[in-house]
Order: sequence, then structure tokens, then C-alpha cells
Amino acid sequence: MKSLLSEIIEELTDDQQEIAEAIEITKTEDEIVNDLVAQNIVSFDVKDDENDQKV
Amino acid sequence: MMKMIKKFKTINNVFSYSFFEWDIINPVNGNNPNNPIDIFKKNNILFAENGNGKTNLISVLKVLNGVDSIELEKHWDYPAENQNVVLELDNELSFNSENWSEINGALKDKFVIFDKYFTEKYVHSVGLDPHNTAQRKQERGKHIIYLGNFTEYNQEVNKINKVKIKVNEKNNAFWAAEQEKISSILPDWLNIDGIDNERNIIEDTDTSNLSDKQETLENQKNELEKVKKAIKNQSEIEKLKNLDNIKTVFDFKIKELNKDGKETIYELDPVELFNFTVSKGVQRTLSKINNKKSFIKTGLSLVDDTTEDCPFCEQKIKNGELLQIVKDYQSIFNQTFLDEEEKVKTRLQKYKTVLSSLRDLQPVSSNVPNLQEAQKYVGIDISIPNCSLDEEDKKVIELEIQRVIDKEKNILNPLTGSTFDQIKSIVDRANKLKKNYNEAVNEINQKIDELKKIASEGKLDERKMEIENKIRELEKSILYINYKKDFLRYFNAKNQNAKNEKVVENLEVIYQKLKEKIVEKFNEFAEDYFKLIKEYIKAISPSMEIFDVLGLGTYSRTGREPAQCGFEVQYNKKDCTNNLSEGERQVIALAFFFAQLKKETDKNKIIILDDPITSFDAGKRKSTAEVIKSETLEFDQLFVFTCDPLFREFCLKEIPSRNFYYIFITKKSSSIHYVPKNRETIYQSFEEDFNNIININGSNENVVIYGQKLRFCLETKIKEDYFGYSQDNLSNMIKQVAGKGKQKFENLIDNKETILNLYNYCNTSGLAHYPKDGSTSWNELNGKIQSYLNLNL
Repeated sequence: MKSLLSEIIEELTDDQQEIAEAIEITKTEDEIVNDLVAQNIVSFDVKDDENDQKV
Repeated sequence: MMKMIKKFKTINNVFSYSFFEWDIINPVNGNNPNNPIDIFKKNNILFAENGNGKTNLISVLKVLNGVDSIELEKHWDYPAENQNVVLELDNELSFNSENWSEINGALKDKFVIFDKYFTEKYVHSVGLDPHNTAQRKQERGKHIIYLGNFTEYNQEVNKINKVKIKVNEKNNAFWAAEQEKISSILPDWLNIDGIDNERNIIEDTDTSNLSDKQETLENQKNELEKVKKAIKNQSEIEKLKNLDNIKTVFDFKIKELNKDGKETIYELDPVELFNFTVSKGVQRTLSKINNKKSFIKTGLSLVDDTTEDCPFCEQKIKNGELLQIVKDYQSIFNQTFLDEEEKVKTRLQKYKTVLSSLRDLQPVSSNVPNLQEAQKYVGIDISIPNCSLDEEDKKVIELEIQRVIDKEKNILNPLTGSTFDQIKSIVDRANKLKKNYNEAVNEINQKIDELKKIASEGKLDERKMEIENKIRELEKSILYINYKKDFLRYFNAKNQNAKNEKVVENLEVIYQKLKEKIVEKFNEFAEDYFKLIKEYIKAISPSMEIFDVLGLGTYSRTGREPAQCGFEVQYNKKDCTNNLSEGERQVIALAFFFAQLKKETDKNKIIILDDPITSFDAGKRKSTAEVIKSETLEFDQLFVFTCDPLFREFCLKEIPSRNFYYIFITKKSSSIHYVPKNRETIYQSFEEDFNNIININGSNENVVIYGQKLRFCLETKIKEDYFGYSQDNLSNMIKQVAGKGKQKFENLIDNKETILNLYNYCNTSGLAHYPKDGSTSWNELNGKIQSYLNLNL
């Protein structure tokens, strides 16, 4: 079955498409969120500033 | 994977099935024992009169299908006995009540069932009028959603929403933690919004000048305390005294008056002064008259024209000459030597004065208390510098002074060598010290003056605020230096939060678009679905073509009724939905059901129809059988249950490769009887049993069974065989009646009393279902059966 998400992908902006493409709808919500993190679309951690680290 | 049910092997103590064993009731093995002919085939028609256990069997199948609301009740006569149901399936999985739950899962949703509940749930209240209960509307919506994969679509939409919520929650937690971290660093006077505009400042903060900033901060704090004190003691400020400069001048240029009384500048030259002397002869002379200077000065009073002995050399000198000599000496002394000597002495004196003031160079003592007093009210970080010469220099000066003294004592005695170059260097140093000292004093005085001015103009509070602001700025700078890394992390977190929030926004857009899409798809699906319904209505009941059946479908994810689906029946553009006959409603219900089968994507289902032809005329019964045949081909198995003989006949004719079963109560229990093809006219089959009755055990159970068979034969044979009851139209009925012949009808009329007596016996004398007592007997029944056979109907 074609997912509903794949049917609206053309109507989305580039940013929204990037999100939609990162979502595997058969996965659980937690897995999808992990995928979004893995693809650097969202992040719930912060890296220390690189310049600062050099210091 | 299981496709078909082979048999109900055992049904014990479930409703009217008190003890049913398939293999006992149906010992029909056919020619090939490995392929028994009695087991259910793909298509199966089960006939039963009311009360014989047809619906009970459907209830068992419904429970297997996952309907929780049905309870399989025990037989009324065996409330204490255990229940058992064993199904034999084609995948060799045997199902019994002990592994009920296990098998229940395997058979869940295996069946698609049409019965009165289907009509009630999905169709009976057809329109979307306000009288429909929400539950009914929801059920119809669920039906459509299930068929069009809307359950999956709905789950997908919900999942996107949950992902959005999850991202949002995680981001909120992340951002709150980061804000808390930075807030724990921030002092009371600086809130989190305050640092947002300072990003560039913090990024450019130079962390190496922390100690300078800290020192400045301390100074400013001290300054603040002083200003506060000044505010409290304003009257004291006016009394502050300025510090004094060192005014001493170390100058070797001195002013002298010449003979003309004019002022000239003479630059002290100690070498020259120390070398001051006269010629050796004059020196010897002067030495000799050293103690006679007064004499020389007053020589003329001691010498006259008669003096013969020279007062200096004590030689005889001619009269009159000595006086002249004395006059000459006196002239030298007065005019040259004494004047010169006096000048040297004066200069030495001045030189000594310069040297003394040089030696005694020191700070102004009053400056210390004055400064201390001022420092109470104004931050003066300038200390009064030391301006004393060091001991070495002082020693050199002392020696030089001593030389001056020595020279003064022996003015004509020349002193060789000079420390004047050293003295000049010392003077340079002293001048520098004095300059530094005076500059510091001036600077301090400037501060004191400034404080006095601010105080006199009433601007001390303004000054206080100025310092407080400075302190705040310094504290901020120090904070930024100390926590630069934390602030940069916070700014990164802020960026990340903004990025995450944008993702949440985009997820919301996607979610909204999905919601729109699901409605769009639902509408498309509903349109197609109702088109199908119209086609099936026409197929089952062509006469209903005069009606316009309009599908109505709405889908909403916001209400508690996610989807509603109904229809309106119009005649001449007017709604006549609520005026439909029961038969017309039943047509619509079946059309819904067949549309469901058409849209069902999973064809691995078993189709169950429980008397779908209630209130149908013969024509609709026939067309229903035709549609059942065509629309169930792709499914795994078909069971048509009916109590209607006409519909039974249509099904037997229309549906290919089917088995036929007759359900009736045998031995106190409902039983499923396989009916071989050559005995499908059941009363013929029963008549064969009657002819063999001599071999049958005359038990109470058999009294009931054979009594029922007798009643069935009387009623069904006369209805169907004589009057063509199972024919689909009048023409065929007439043919059937005509085919029977007059003689048979005369026989029927001649024996009407006997026939009615027998029928009455079956219905009213306890033989209807159960033996009540011993008043009826097997022999009595045998006599009745014999009487039936003798009628030769």
C-alpha cells in the first residue's frame, strides 16, 4: 500500500520534504524520532563551540 | 495458512448443541476414504427450520471471528457440564475450547458475515438524519475506513502527529535544561533575555584580561563606597585640602649685582670657586699677613712717612717709601682681592645652599594627612611618590658641602678635583623626583577638585550611578570571561531549539496536509463505494432502478465520529429514504455487503450469509443467489445459512460445487447432517429412513427425530412437490402443479383428514421437539409413519 505521506510529498517545501523522506512510516514513533536525530534534522544535544574547544 | 473449515468435529453443551459429533451423525466416507465427501467444500448451503441450531452455529463462528459480545451459553439441560467445541481445519490445525484463545487469534477477522446485525449496524438507519445514533453512524464510518485502508492511513496520520508531539516534548525538555543551566550561572540582575543581544560581545570576549578586569572592579567597588561616604558627609568635602608641590629649585644660576649696580646671571662653577687663589708671592705675603689682615686694612693708620720698618717684611725701608707700598697693598686688597674673595665666598655660600636643599629634598609632610582625608571620599589610586635622594647621593652631597666649608675656611687655598659632575647628575635626578612628585600631587589635586566640584554641583548621586553602571558592566565582562564556554553552548542550544521548532512547525504542516489528504481519499473512496452499491441494488432488484441512491460520506478527524457514511434514496429528486419497505431496505443492506466484498483487499476470507433474503420476493431470492455465486468466487469458503426452502433451492441450483447440509435436532441435540446430492430432496431421503425403520432403535431420541422427519415430510412434500412452493415464478409453479397430475391431487383431497390428523399429531402431541413422558411411544410413531407411507403422496 502506498503510504499517505508519499502521496503528499509533492505538495511540500524542500524542508518539509527532507523531513518526510526521513520518515519511515512503518517504524515506531521513537524509531522515527531517532532517525530524525541520526539525519541531523533535529537534535536534543548541543556540541560545544568548535572555536571554544580549540581554545 | 488456514483457508477452509472441514467440519465441526464436536460441539458439546453449546446452546442447542448438547452433544454433537460430526463423525457419528455423518458416517459418509464416499468411495475414497482419504477424501470424505461429507466435509465442507468451498461452497456450502445449510438449511434449517427455525429453532434447530442454525443461528447458534453462526454465533460460534462469530466468536471465532473475534466478536467479544457473544457468550456461548450452555444447553439448558446441562448447566453443570463442560463445554467443548472442536473444529477441523484444512491446515490440520484442530481447534477446541481448550486452545480457544490461541486459535481465536488465528481465525480472528477470518469471516465476513452478513446477518441481521450487519443490516442493523451499517445499513438499517440509512440516512444521516439526526435520529441516527452516533454509535450507528460511527459503525458505518468504521466499515468504510476498514475497507479503504483508512485504518492504516489514520494510524499514519496519528503517527506523524505523535512524532511531532514527541519532537516538541523532547525539544522543550532539551531547551528547558539548557536554559536552566545558563540561568544557574546568571546573577539576579541579568536575566536570560538580557544575554540574547550580547552574543557578539560574548563571542569577542578576550579571556586573557580577567585579572585586569577584576582589579578594576575592585577599584570601582572601593570608589563606590567612597562616593556613598561622600554623599553622607557632603559638608566634609568642601573642607578637603589640596596637596602642596615641592617648590625647591636646584638652580646653579644665581643673580649678582655688578659694580654698576646691574643684575647679571652667574652660573655657579664650583671648580672655579674651589680653585680660587692668588699668585704664590701674593699668597706667601698673604700668609705672612694672615693674622694682620686688619692691619692691612687699617695699615695706613699704622704707617706714616716716618715709619722705617716694613710691617710685613720687617726690613728697613726708606722713609716715605713704605707709606707708598702700604698704599699700593691696600689698593690691591681693597680693589681686587677682597672684592674677589667676597664674591667667591658669596658664591660658595649659595652653592652650599643649593647642596643643602638638594640633600634635604623630601616630600611635603602635610600632604600625607591631606591625602588620607581626601581618600575617604574619592578613589585616589595615585600614591605620593618618594622624592628623597638615596644615601649614596646624600653622601656625595655631604662631601661636597664639606669641601665648600673647607674652602670657605681657607679661601685662598685651592682645592683640586671636583665632584661637580656627580652633583649635577644628582640635581638631574632630584629634579626628576621633584617633577614626579609634583605631577602626582597635581593629579591628586585634580581628583580632589573634581570631587569638590561634583559635590558643590549636587552631582554625587549621579556619580554614584555612573560607578554602579561601570561595576555592572565590569561584572558582566567578568561573567562573560568566566563562563564564555557556557554562553557559547547556550547560543548553540538556542539555534538548535529554533531549528527543532521549525521541524515541529513543518511536522504540523505535514500533519495538516495528511488530514486533508485522508479526507480527500475518503471522499473518492466513498464515491466509488456508493457507485458499487447502486450497481448491486440494480442487480438484486432491478425494480429499484426508479430510485436514485445517493451516497453520503463525511470524514473528520476532529470529532468523536471520525467517519460517517449513509445514503439517501430519492424518487423524483425527493428523499424517500424513510418510506422504503423492509424488502427494499434489505436490498440496500445486501448491496452494502456485496460492495464490501468487492472492496475487500484480503480475499482469504470465509463468507457467511445468514438468511439474506428476509422479506424478499421470489425474484429477489433468485437474483440474490446469483450475486452470491458471482461475488464469492475469489474467497476461501462460503456458507449460506437459510430457513427458506425457495432460497435454498435457488442456491442449490446457482452455486456450483457446493455441499448441502440439513440442520435439525437429533438425539436431543442440534446436528449438522450432510445430505448427499442424490437425496437433496430431503423428504425423499426421510421416506427412505421410514422404509428402514424396522432397523432403528426405538429410543426417546429417535421418537423425536422421526417425529420431526414425519412432520417435515408432510409439510414440505405437499408444499413443494404438489404446489411448486420452491419454484421461482408462477409459470414454473403451474408447470409443477400440472406435472403432478389430477390423480395425485384427488388422492390428496381424499386423504385430507388422515393427513391433517398426522400433521396435528406431529405438532401437538409432544413430538414437536422433545418427548415429554412415556405417553408417546415408538410403536405409536411407527403406526403414524406407516400411515404416511400408505398415503403414497
